[in-house]
Amino acid sequence: MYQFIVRRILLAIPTLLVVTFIVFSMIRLDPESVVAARLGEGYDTNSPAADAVREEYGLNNPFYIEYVRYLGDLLTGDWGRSAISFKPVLEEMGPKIAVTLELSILAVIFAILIGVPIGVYSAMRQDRWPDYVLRGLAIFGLSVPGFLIATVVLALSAYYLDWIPPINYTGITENPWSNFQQMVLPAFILSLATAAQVMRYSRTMMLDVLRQDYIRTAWAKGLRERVVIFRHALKNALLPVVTVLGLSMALLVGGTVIFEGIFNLPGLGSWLVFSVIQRDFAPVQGATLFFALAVVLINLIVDISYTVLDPRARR
Amino acid sequence: MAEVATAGSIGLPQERGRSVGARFLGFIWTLARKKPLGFFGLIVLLAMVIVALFPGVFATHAPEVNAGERFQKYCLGPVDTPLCPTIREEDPLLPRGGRVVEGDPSIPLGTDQLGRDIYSRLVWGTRVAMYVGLGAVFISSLIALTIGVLTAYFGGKVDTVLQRLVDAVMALPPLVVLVSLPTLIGGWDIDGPLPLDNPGITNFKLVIILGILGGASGSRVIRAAVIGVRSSQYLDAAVVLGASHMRIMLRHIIPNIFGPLMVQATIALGGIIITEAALSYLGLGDTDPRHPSWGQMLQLAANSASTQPLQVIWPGIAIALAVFSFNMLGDALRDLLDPRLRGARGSFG
Repeated sequence: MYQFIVRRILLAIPTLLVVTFIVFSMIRLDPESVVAARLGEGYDTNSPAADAVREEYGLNNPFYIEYVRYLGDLLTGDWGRSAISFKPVLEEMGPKIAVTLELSILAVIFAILIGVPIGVYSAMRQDRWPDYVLRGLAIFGLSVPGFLIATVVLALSAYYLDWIPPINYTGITENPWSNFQQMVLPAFILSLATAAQVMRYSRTMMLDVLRQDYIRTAWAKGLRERVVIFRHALKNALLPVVTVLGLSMALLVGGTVIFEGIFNLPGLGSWLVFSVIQRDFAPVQGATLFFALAVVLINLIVDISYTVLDPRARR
Repeated sequence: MAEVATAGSIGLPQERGRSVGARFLGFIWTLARKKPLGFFGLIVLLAMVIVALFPGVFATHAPEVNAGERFQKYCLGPVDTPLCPTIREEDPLLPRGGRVVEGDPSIPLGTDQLGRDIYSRLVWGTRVAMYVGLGAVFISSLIALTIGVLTAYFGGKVDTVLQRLVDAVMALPPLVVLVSLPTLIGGWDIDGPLPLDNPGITNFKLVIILGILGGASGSRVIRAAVIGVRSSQYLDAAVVLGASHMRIMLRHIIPNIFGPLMVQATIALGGIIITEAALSYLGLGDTDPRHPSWGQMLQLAANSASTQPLQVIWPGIAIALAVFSFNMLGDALRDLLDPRLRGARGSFG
């Protein structure tokens, strides 16, 4: 098992290198636009100011030298400086990561709380009407994008209920209860697509397990349905659901970009969009890199936890 | 004498006697009989392609012009019920009462804040959705096929190196890349910087970027499918007959993974349409007023939600219908075409 974990971590290193290289290259595809964004249209290309900007973003040297320097900077915590707030990117990013992380974790919890019980129930009533209704709902959840549901809910509640999401964000340390009130609706809607996936997958897995011999034995012993389902079947059925959660994380992380905008949450995603509109390059690079690193890390954790949880995968 | 090695000439069972067209029609018939929802998805797809090809025939107005009066119609039911709300605040853009039930029949769904016909914009928006969706799916299928077949066929070092690249591209959330990349590249014209409110991305660039991102994840599916057929006896037979690598890949592998390829493409289509809509919703898509996007319309409707809440319904229905139909078609194709899943338990349809 340890051999597998070590191998898996080692395999993540080249992936990380390629990811950093892609993010590093983005700014170099059109270097002069970076200078133009800072100095405005019609700047003097030979002026010391233009040279200073090029120096700051490391556009003067060959890319392989700059790439090594970039990696070094990343590792020593120098992720560049925002051209608007003049703060270091990493320092500004900290509190925003906390918001995005809270939103994602809440969404994952909701996805499990909604998806797993519905999936298990649907499997228990296979091909009867509750199953059909719940599967139909899952297909709906997969087909209607979350930001569309959020928009419709907010539009209707703004008119009929006189409620719009609060403009001021309350941090979790300031007032946990009002923070939760603010987070619960975006996290719930964000979780729906993932919940639908979890539901479909846990249903399939449950059906698979329910057909196995040891479950027939449990029925034959005269155990009640509750015991058969919860004590015998559930544990084995839910292991693979971890994989689905991992796979849908990239989607979920991408979803925070749009949800934070809709619900006025000062997270990493809304910061990214803001920086894009302001053409502030260091935060754009920093946030993009962070999102990618998060996805790589999540996939790593999922793979490893799967190995730890499932003895069959250790071979 | 390369032609000697065709399957037909050495007497392998090949579907002889039925032309490609007849087999295609037969498949459509099977789809209609066994998977009515998938068939419904196919009909919606075809209808949307036709609308996208000839928007001028279906639309009553051009998408970017004021359709005449600035009036809004947003009743979904009887007057003075929640389905036909009155306007609360005085809106200078609206005629008195703020509620127009009878109107110009060429403006069946009313107009938006700028007086543009919502119905016509939905029709032209279909062209944007289909152009981006089908274009990106085409490019991503080509990329997925190339990477998937090469890595699975040759394996070894080619596989290891290309799969790390695929890993890295898959780690980038599509929406994040789409938001940030156009700023860093072509956000600027040759003549100089674009205004700040114009992200400068065109639908063509969108197709390319989405195609590349989709190609990476699609290549995983193709790779798995090729590994599935790699050890087949007909490939051994082709090798024995002296077929080149190129010939084996083109004539023997690719035709046999056509099913998974179609399934992957159809399932990806819905996701790409969602991503495009999300990007335009953020105001970071193609902002050319002649290319109205459903996402852009949704954003516009959301901004006026406090006065006209029901305007969000129309682009919402368009997005949901498209994505639902393509997902259903993809699910049906997977059940019918993918032999690994044939007869598998828990099929959804």
